[in-house]
Amino acid sequence: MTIALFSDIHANLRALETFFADVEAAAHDIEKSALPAEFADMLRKTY
Amino acid sequence: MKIALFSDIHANLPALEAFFASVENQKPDAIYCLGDLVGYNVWPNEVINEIRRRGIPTIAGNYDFGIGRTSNDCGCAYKTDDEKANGAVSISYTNQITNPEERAYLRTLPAHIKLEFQLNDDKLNLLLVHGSPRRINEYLFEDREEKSLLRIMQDADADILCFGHTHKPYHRILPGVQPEGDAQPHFRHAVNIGSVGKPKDGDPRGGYVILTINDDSSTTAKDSIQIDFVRFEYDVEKAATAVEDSPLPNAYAEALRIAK
Repeated sequence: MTIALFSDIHANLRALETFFADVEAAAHDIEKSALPAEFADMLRKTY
Repeated sequence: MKIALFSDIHANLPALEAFFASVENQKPDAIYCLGDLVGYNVWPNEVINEIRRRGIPTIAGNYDFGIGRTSNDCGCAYKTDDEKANGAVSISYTNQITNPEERAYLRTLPAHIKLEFQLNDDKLNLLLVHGSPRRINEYLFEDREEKSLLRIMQDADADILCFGHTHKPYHRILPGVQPEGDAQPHFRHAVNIGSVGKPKDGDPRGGYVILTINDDSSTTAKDSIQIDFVRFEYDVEKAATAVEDSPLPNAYAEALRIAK
């Protein structure tokens, strides 16, 4: 099981987007997305 | 906050796909799976991979625990000789078709997930388990004596206890008093979330729960936590036919059609 943990985004959208790109690339055994797309969308809207 | 809770898919891919279509419309803030991804149907690997692909936090069910360890015991309480014989075929077949990587994933699933909300200068503990906090395969049916259910929840420090395993959904609100003894009421919620892929309540549709926690949710207010039971249609015949076309006993196909 692979678990991605992140925190302290502090309204830094550019960092958050880079995180999503990075974690998707790093998730070897989770084929496409490490996080539900809906959750990613929610964070993008919030920050 | 809206939290979607689902469990007991039991290798039923058509039901799982229909669940995802249904839950998307609910727009939950979080989704958790309460276990039993495998057993009784032909798609254990596909079900595991769909849940993993979506990154859904998942706990182990008793069937997952058994298959993860290549055991021939799923911890199921079969009553009759027929049920025992059918169960033996199911776990043997599931062990045969589950791939090593998917089996390893099942082995690493946690037993519980606990979330502590901080509301109204108080805390609200949500505990997610498969059977009960005590045992992965304990059946908490709706007619469980109130005193027993309350003790289980108190021992686990759970204000809201969500579980599956029986495949029969219900919500019970258990009254009590705050431990400080100030005579303030303390309501606890026991929620059986039903089954996505093998319901046993006479309704063949899949089922899951939407739990809504608001900023005024509290253990002192009986109705401040919202529990919605959602049912969705899926291609039952496709799932039943898959069973009949496999080495699995046909009784499991009929069980899907009549939800028993």
